[in-house]
Amino acid sequence: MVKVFIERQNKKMNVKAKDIDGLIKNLNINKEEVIIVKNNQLTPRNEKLKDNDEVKFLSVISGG
Amino acid sequence: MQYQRVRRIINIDELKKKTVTIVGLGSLGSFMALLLAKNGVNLNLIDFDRVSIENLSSQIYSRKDIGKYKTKTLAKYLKKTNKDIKIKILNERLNSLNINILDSDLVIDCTDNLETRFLIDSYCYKKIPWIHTAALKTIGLVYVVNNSLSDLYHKNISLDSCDEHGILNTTSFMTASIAVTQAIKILLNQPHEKDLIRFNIWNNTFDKIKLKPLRKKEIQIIKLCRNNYSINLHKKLDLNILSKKYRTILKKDNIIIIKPRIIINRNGYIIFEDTNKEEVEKWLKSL
Repeated sequence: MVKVFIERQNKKMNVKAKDIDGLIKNLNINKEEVIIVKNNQLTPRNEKLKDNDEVKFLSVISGG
Repeated sequence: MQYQRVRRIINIDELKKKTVTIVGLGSLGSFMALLLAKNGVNLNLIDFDRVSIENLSSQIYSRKDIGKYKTKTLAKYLKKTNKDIKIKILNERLNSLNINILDSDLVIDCTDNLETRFLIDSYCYKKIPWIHTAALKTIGLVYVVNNSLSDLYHKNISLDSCDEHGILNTTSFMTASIAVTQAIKILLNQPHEKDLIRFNIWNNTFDKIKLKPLRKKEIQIIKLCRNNYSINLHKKLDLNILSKKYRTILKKDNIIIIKPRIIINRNGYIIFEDTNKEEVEKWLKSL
């Protein structure tokens, strides 16, 4: 299971997933609105996942 | 006497020799300017905007400042705080023609749009250290740009606007404090934070995110706002040859600007203004 946090919805969950792309499709995440962090590292969308990985979908912010 | 206590922590005499450029004087930039001024740092302040009533809750300005330029108002306020610092102001939106105001010891991005951020990136790339900051609602972000901003935003992205959602003023203060601490470290040649710092002041969460330069030196055309595009060719360019080949509007040691508005950094970083992807691809083939 992969630990997932979706910041926009303030939602944490454990899900089965093989890669980030699959997570994006299954969780219906708008990939243009997030930066993706796996185990505290910025991650490309084609990255593979394994059990106990932590994935965060953090909103892109631009205000100043 | 003014610095008597802080001298025990940092080298104020060294800081007094430094100049920082702050782009954007809103909820982040106005407080960063204050913190830097109090530590004796000289400032270049850039903003085209005037103070409005909506700014008062999250920015440094007062009711009496409404309608006045943020640059002039802030410079006056900072001079009262520390009369010894030098302040240069620019009442314009940062653009390719006035971009040399960024020439300083450090640049801090406090803007609210990706277009200006990539413009800063293109000028500072491998030349001037710079810090990318952003905030929204209760989330703040500080990143001392190690390589290029395209390591963080390397795909098409859509961005929330602070005008729609606002920034809690405690978020502004915290973001400003973290960024200015990193700025002081950079100015004093001390080791600074390499990771991207991102916090949510409401939830008390604090992330340090590692960024690596793009694994492959991919040449990606990144779409910015207002039909602007950015690209990094990851190779040195000979600006003398290019300035002869293309109609050149401006030539400096690290960049040239050619017609139609294209900003070329000698390290291979290029910004295309007001065009489309097909034109960018066509131009790249002609290079």
